[in-house]
Amino acid sequence: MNKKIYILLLAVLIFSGAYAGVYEIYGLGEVGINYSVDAQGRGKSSTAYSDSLGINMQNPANLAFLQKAGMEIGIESQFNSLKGIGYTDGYTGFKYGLLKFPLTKKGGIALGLLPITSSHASYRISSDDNIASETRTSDGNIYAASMSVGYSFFKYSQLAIGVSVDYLIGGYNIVKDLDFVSPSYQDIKIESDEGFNGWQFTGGITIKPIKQLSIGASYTHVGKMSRRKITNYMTSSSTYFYSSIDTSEYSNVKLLPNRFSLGLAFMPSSRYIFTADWMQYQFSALSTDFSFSPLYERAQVRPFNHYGIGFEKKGILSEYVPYHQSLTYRGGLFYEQHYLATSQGKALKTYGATLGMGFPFTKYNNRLDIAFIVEHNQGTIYEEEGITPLTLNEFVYRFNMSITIAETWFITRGKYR
Amino acid sequence: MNSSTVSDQSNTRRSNCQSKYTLAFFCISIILIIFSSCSQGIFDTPYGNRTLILDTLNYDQSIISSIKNMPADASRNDLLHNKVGKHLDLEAEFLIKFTNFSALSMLHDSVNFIMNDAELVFYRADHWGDAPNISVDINLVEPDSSLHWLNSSDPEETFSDIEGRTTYYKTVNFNIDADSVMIPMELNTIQDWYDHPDTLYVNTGLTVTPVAASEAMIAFYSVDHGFGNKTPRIKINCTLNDTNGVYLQDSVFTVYANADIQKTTDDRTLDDGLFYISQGNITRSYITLDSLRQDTLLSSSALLNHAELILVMNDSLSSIGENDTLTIAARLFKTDHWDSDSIAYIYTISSNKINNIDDTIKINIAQLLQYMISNPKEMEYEGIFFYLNNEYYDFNQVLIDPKNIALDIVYTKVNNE
Repeated sequence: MNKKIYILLLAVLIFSGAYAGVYEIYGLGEVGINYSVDAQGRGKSSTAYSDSLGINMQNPANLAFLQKAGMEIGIESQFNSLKGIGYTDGYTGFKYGLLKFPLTKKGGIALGLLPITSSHASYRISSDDNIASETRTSDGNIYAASMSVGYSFFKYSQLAIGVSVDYLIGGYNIVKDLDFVSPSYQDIKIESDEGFNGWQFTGGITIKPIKQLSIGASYTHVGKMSRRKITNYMTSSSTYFYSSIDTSEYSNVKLLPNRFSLGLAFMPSSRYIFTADWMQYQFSALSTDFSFSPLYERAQVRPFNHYGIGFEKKGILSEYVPYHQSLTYRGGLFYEQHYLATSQGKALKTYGATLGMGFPFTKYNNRLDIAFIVEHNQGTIYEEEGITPLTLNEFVYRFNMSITIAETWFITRGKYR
Repeated sequence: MNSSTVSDQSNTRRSNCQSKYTLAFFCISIILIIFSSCSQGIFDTPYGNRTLILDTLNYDQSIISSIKNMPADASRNDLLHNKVGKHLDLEAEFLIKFTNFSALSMLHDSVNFIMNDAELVFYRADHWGDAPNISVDINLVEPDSSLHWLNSSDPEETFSDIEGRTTYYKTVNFNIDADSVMIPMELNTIQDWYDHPDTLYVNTGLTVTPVAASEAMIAFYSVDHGFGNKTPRIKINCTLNDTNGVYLQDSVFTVYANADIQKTTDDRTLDDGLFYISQGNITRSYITLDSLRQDTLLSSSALLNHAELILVMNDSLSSIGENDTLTIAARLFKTDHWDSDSIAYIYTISSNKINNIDDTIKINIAQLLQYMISNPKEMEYEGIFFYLNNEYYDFNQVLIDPKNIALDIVYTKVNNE
């Protein structure tokens, strides 16, 4: 039954969703989204820590601590609210899905699909003379088909290292509509389908100098990617439809920057964990100008920085305590500077607070994780000479949920039974 | 209770628990999808990173590179009317045949018929010219199988074949505004057609041609108008007897025409200084717009929203019937030779309705110009030609002075990204 439900759920998720944010209209949209739900509950911090059940997407070295085989699937639901407009849009969709397997007692391996970038945005520019309006929508993702391995050394796993090889694949559908008020004018629609693929390689390390402290770091190098752009120029009226298709191929382009993560985890006792993370996408070194979805003319590109702190109170996984004591509680705060910055170099910022919980079930082999995130995005999203810069004042409410499950088909004899 | 039973119960409990949580995961996902699909606003602003720029271009007569007025042959095999006579330099004749004598041939074997008299009947559809009467010649086509023709035969080829192979039969004069024309026919001619049905390739019909001095034109309903009470026919008055020669009754039998072809001759020489567009003696006006393709402001990637061509009728040279309402159609053409058979054309756009009071004609030719600017020139002459609606069935003419032409284009430029 579970397998059927997963298939049905995936089918529904693939076709759900709409357009949400505003600043995601530019470039790659949103980055820094490759966190498991338990990490999101801790203020999006996981470079130095992950438990024995969950998957770590930031640092493959932490896969060494994996003890349960199974699968983990996550969905995300977000609701955007803009000051002065209210609810602008919502999006619910597939977030990630991974299979995980421990390798002996010291290692782990994971393979599956992880999110790297996401854009679900719409933006309408109405002309002063009310003749026509241009609506632009951007909808797309880049995913990593990932295979990661982590392994630890020494008696207490004081050192763990991991590597990850990711095949990047994804695409953006960018639609520009020019709609006229008068029906005697033909409307314009330009639809660009952008497809990308390439490779990225991640190396990670986690060190435990003392039992209570863990330090993790990872670095992702993104190789050159290829890009295919199919643009369909269309006009239509009540009597005719005109379409002209233009295809362009680009190779050896670097669309996604390298990434560096550094994290700390402090565990004063076995049930309490405090984490801190810094992650940077080195966008400023990126040669591309996001020509497939350009920034506004005066905008600058800056490094994307994420700073997150969090805590986790682990539940007692025992059949001899009440169920509520087996729940895991998480919380955190984060701050992000986006790569989109004004002509003065002032980046768009996000302040966020997170809460999360973990619900173990079926003798603690499985867990349902949820994370609730409130974000406040603010900053300039458009400026031109002679106008007051357009500022964003947006709240985003995200509800993330994942289920990590060791199905019958993962239960084996011996150590993993 | 043995150990396998305990294990089974444990597995059942585990499975139930898993199913419950998985179902909860599924249900929450669906609820989120429904919530995120709620109606929403859109970020709307007068400012933004426009990629579609609206612009206008206005041209006068200088946009026309050349004008070519060409008569179109009005000879056809599928017209709803058969014209005969002379009017405004057009001379028309038609060929018709009656081969379906089933009304007589299907009579029961016990009945014999004797033809008493027969008459050919044509029903008037329209007429032109001031003369109150019109004279036409009826000529019988030689009953030779080499002259066999069908309703779908090529007019030019068929009339070429029968040239000099017709025999004068009679001249008929009748009132031009009569609703129908009845022409008595000799019984031996009708008997001959009855005895030699079409399958023997001998009933080749008759031609109806104008008498030289006649200066009027009349149009009769044709076979292609559809079977009905206006179909050309022969009415045969017969006496029916039984096989012993005993009189039974008098009856009128109708033999309907089953093929006809129109031929017209027009030897006018047209001036190319004006747009000359006419019905009846059909004239179409072809203009080339080479300079439009060369206009650097209008690039091949531009998308046309509106392209209004404004033509002003020359009232003194144009003639439109008092109760007639016309439209001018515009089509895209391409050809290497000014020969009507070699001209290829696509798309059809219609103007506003015009009558003898209006003198301004407006046509939105965006679709035609879009094709022109988006595609390279392939043939020597490419442009737009104009013709009047209903051009085979009436005699109106519209002359346009190119000096007063205006072409107003609204188009969208796509910013290169």
